[in-house]
Amino acid sequence: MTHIDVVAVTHRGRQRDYNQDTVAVAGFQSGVLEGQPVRFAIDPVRPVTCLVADGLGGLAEGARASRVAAATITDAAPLFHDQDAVVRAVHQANDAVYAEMALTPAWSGMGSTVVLLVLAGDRAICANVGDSRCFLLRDAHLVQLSQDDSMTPAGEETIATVVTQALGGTPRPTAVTPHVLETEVAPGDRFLLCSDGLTDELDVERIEEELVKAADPRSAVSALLRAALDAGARDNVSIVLVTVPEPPAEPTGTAQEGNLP
Amino acid sequence: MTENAQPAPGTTRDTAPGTTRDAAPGTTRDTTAPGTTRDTAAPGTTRDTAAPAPGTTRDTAAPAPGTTRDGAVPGPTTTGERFVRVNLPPTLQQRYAVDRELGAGGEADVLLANDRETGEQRVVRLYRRQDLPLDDDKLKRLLLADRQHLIALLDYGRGDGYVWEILEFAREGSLEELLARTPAPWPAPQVLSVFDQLAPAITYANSLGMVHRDIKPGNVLIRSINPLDMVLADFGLTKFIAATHHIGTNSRTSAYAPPEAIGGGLSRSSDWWSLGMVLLELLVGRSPFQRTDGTWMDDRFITHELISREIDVSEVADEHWRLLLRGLLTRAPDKRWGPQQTAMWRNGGKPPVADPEPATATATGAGPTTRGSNATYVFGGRGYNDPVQLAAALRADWGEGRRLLAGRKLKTPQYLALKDWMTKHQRAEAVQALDNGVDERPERGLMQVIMALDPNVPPEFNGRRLDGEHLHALLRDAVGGQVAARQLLDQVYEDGILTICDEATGCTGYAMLDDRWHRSVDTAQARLQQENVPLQAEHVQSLRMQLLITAYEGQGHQYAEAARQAAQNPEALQQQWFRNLAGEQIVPQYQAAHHAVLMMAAPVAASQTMNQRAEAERRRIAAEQHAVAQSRAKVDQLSVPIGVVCGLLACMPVVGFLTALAAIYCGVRARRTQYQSASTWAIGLGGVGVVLQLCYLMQAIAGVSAQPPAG
Repeated sequence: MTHIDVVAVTHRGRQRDYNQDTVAVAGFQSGVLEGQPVRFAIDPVRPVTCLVADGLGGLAEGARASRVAAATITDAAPLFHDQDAVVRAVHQANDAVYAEMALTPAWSGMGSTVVLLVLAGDRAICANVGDSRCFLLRDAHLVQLSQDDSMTPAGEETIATVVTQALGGTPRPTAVTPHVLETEVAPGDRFLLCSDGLTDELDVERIEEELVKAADPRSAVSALLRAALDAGARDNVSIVLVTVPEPPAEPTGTAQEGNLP
Repeated sequence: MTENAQPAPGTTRDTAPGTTRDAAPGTTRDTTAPGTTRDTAAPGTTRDTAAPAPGTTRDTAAPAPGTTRDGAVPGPTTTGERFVRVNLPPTLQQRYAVDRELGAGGEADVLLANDRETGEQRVVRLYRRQDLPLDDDKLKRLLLADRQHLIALLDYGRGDGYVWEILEFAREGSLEELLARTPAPWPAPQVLSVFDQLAPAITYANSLGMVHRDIKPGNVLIRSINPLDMVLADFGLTKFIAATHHIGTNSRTSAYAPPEAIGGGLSRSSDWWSLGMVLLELLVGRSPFQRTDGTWMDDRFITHELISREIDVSEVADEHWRLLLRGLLTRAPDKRWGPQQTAMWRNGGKPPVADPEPATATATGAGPTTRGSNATYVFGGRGYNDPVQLAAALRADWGEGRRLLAGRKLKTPQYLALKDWMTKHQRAEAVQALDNGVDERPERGLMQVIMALDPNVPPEFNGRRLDGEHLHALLRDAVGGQVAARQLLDQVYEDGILTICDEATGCTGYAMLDDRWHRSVDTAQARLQQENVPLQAEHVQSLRMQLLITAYEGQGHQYAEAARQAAQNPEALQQQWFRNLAGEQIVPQYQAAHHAVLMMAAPVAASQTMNQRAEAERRRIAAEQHAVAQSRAKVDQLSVPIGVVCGLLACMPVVGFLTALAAIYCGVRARRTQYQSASTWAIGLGGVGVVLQLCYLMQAIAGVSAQPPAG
């Protein structure tokens, strides 16, 4: 089994009756209010792109912005062989949100965060704008790869409601500078993409714990969603868990588990 | 400062690029220079023409047509196939064919040229002014100078609107270029060979009455790498031009300049300071004025640092090297080391150093309040701009800190931001801690960072304090069987945390303690492995715990009694290897380890004895059972013929009564053998016999009952 395993879910949470998050995995884009975890097995012959976009702004507009952003990036995804292509796509998504905004005055100011992960061969490229996050779980350490565009005054807590940068988000077209990190992928790496609906409810320690103790990716995502809902889920919750396969077990004795039916 | 970077920016760097793109030495190009073939100045020979007076042109006999005297920049012309912006003045044109430009600056052009006669590559530097004052006296001395130490000045002159000099071309480029290819830190032997090249060169230059004033990696040229042959460059005309033009410096230059240069002062010892800075850079990996990402600090900042502070050489691990650097980087020029001291040092001596070595801690001792920065670092959703507060936060939220440092290898934004922040807050030790060995052990790195950020607080690892008393308490808890304490101790061992704590409040001697601890654990584990004693995780834990106790000064005997008893375990002593182990003579420093080995090994040896005994018992029982089975099988074999015979006899009256039953019995036993048919026969005959006997019996009864009426 050399396929990349992705489990994705998006949920409106407990307090909102709309879902402004959009999740896209390898070209499939979410469009549900509250979904069940969906599992993908993706052959990594081409770059595999997963993303979470968290819409900002009133009611429908946030969702609109996140859908537009996700669709624009997904369209460019087959070409994500290097950082430049990824950055270009993020800029295109920004332009697309502003173009959409120009259609109707009521949509003015709609915006979206985006965090995306591209697995291209043995490289992983993570890019983000806004406060949706990407983590890497390796050696039982959950390390954040994305950089939050949020404000934290000295000696104070981060202001959760403010993002300093987003796709769209202002009435006038404004350029964005995505944060990009490229790293090597190791077998067994697990990447977690999520909207702030997860990280605001659960601290990273807890997320790390759930991921480490989960038996398989699907139950890990379910456990995280359950925990977020139990904690109140004041915002939409989206979770994408990407698992890089371990190398195929060698036929000689070393592989005890996993091989058996 | 009166440095001379400006006259020819980039020249020093480019005079001798190691790359020889199609330079093709000896190629004949433009060999048909008009007129005379001049006797090229042989190295070291003075030329027959006296140094020209200002304004005179040399060899006016052969001016190229159309060249005017002040035609500084003739129109673009091509030499060979290559485009060269600058032409040589006619005098030089006869002797040299331009190969390519090496660089150009506000004051000078630098060309690589081939000697038309010998084909050798030369560097020609053209200053676009003719009225520069030249110190012929000094320049003549340079022409005669020993080529071993200084880049050769082959000729110089003036004319056609230029002042020019011909220099040797160093094929391997500059030390700066070598550093770009092979980044420092370099191993000490290599740095020593650089020292062996540069120190005599400076001594020699000083003996000529010359001070270079601008020694830096870009000005050290390399003739060959193996064997290393380095020379000082830029002793020539640059010096005199710089003297007439006061030009601002750039950081790349002032980073190597001594403190006295700030006030314009200059002495023979200036070059020795610069040598110190170059060596420090080679040993540590970067200049103290270079940021971790390789960029250079602001010139004003460097000046400020030079005025106010010693150069910190504490990053150099080796004491002898540190001594040299402290000697060279002595701020007072008259107390700075010079030729004698460095020679003494090279021979293993320890010349005195004027300034006492500062304690490492004092570098940070100034505290954050005096040189705070406004930079804010976000940790755990909170902004910090005070190192002490951040240290406290890192201690409080250990998990987040661990994840932060786990991002080191990945160069995550959070990690890079922390490093940047610490640089801004001038926490060199903390930055250093980040650079060292955090890769595999995030928690070790975290500990180092916390300690560097706030050295005044007792060390704390994952929520447990580690200073004297608290470490004792932790040990007690671990011995008492607390799982958390045991695991923590394990981590402290694996991450080498105690060494980091050394010299912190309440942690005196921890480095030694840790060293003893690790050494005894390693010894014990190696010994146990040698004896094939299996070690499970909890055994290793206990081993480490016990050996930490004995690692304390004077506690080595703690487990002597327990070990003695273990060594007397009669069961264990049944094992030859354990007897050997128990009888071993051990040097005192490994006594404690040996005790632990005995205590670990005794139960294993004892259980081996038990197992061997149980095995013997099992074998005895098996043998008994085997014997029984064999005798039964023998009887079974015998019952085959007996059964058949009895079966045959069973037909006879009276006797057959017994034999029939015997035949059936034997037949059944014989079934266990391979003679199945014989067994069937025996049983069958036995059965028939029984029936017959019954018939006989009935007949007899009938006969008896019939007789009385008959009688």
